[in-house]
Amino acid sequence: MSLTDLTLAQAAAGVASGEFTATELTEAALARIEAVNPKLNAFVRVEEDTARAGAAAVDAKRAAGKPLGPLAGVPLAHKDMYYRAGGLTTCGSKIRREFRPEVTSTALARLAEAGATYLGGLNMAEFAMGPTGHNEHFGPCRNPWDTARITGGSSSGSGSATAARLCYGALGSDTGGSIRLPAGFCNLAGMKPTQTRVSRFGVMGLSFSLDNVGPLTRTVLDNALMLAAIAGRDPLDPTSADMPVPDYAAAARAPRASGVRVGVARGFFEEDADELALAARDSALAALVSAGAQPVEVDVGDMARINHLSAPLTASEAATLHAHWLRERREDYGAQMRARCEMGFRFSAVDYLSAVQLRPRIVTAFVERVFSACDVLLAPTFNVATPTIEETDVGSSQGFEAVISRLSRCTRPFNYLTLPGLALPTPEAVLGMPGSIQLLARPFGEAALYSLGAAYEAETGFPDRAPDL
Amino acid sequence: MSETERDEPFPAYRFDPAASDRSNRAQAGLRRAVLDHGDGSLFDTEPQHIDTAIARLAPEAGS
Repeated sequence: MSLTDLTLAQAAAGVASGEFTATELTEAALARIEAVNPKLNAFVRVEEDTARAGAAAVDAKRAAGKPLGPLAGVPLAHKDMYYRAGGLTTCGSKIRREFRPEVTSTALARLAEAGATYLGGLNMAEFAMGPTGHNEHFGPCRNPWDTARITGGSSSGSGSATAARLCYGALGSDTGGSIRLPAGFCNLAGMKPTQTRVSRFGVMGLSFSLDNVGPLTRTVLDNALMLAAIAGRDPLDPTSADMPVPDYAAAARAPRASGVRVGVARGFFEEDADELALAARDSALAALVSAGAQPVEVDVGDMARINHLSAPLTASEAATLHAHWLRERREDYGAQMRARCEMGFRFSAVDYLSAVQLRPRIVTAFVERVFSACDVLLAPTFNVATPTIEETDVGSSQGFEAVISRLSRCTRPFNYLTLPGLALPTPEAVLGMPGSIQLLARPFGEAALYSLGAAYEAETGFPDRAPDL
Repeated sequence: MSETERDEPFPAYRFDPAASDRSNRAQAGLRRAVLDHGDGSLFDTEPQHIDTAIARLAPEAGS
């Protein structure tokens, strides 16, 4: 077995025990990136010197007998929108191609504190807006399971690189599904935490009401280890929640499905769906039941209405953040990004504030209704077969809205609802490509998702599947 | 093309003409969604804080 085939948890344990060094792990990752990345375009920038220096520091620390963090020596890479003081951060854009921020994001600082090292910046949709993985400036990112097909976005490189074993895990961001979709299309675990669970300081913003920071990994435990490192109150981000952080890794190490009531989200999630995607969802439900979960039917209400309410938040907030550059550098935007921002200028202040004002009431009503009937809600992450890059290369043409709506239909409601969602691969594939479900819990219920997700992982063995590259 | 189109949202800026149609559809959907909520009125409601609401709904608070 190659070092790059290890899970994040195994890699960390191997460095801690001295079975191999952080430098050996890093060299293995760099060699694989060199061999495989040209097929995928997952990395927009590889920082060999930074990676090697980080690994050497971990090895020196271990040699000196100093305590190591829980992720010590593990090479990670991240969606290229996490600021590192003095380091390039392109945000997947032409406008920020040479941008070097003055601050380091709290998420990256906390991962570094846990001992993780940094391999480089990963491809993404321009300014994190787009669910397919296309990028006019850096080229499309490719799915390691079939390089003609999309990775999902906007955290396209995070999905592709982690699935292809170019890194052991990656941060993405999720405003309408941008962690869960690439996790789903690439056979990974992807967590969109509760809104405000993770600090967004030093992270490029798209929509401050809906943006979330979270990890994409090959296993549930790996995911829990990464979230554990980054979750919690941050004085630098006044919107971060001042709520206790449970022991996520302990939850993932204690798989539990027995007696857990799993509510099946139907209705909206089954409309306009490919039958094979729903069959994959059903295979996941069967696995959960086999592991001991109790299926229950729940009424999720009118989810289309929730998607309508989230539209002015995304569009108006993105338009606000990009207004200056739209005015000054319009031609430097990709066509779809520009078109979607322009929509934001058309919503009135009353439209926007109505959606904001209704949100707590709608979230409360949804949580009280759904989570009185079940402990965890199950919905498809997407209900279509994975399209090709060519099929979804729509730019700002007539059909682009339909493509976006269809791909992110099942994920977007949960950003408005603030809920944590863990995307996990289905046992059955969809036309030879990974299928995916999302498990959702009440706000700050991530530990319950990891515990159930670990039981599901043990039942299905999804991390054992690897793309042939 | 009208003067208004040339000057929105900035002087000398021209919207993609298709943006107007898309915005109208999204706006109509939103306004229907607001009207469909309760009696459709937000009168007598206080400024809402999503962070307070979700803290109250956390597992230790809600189950």
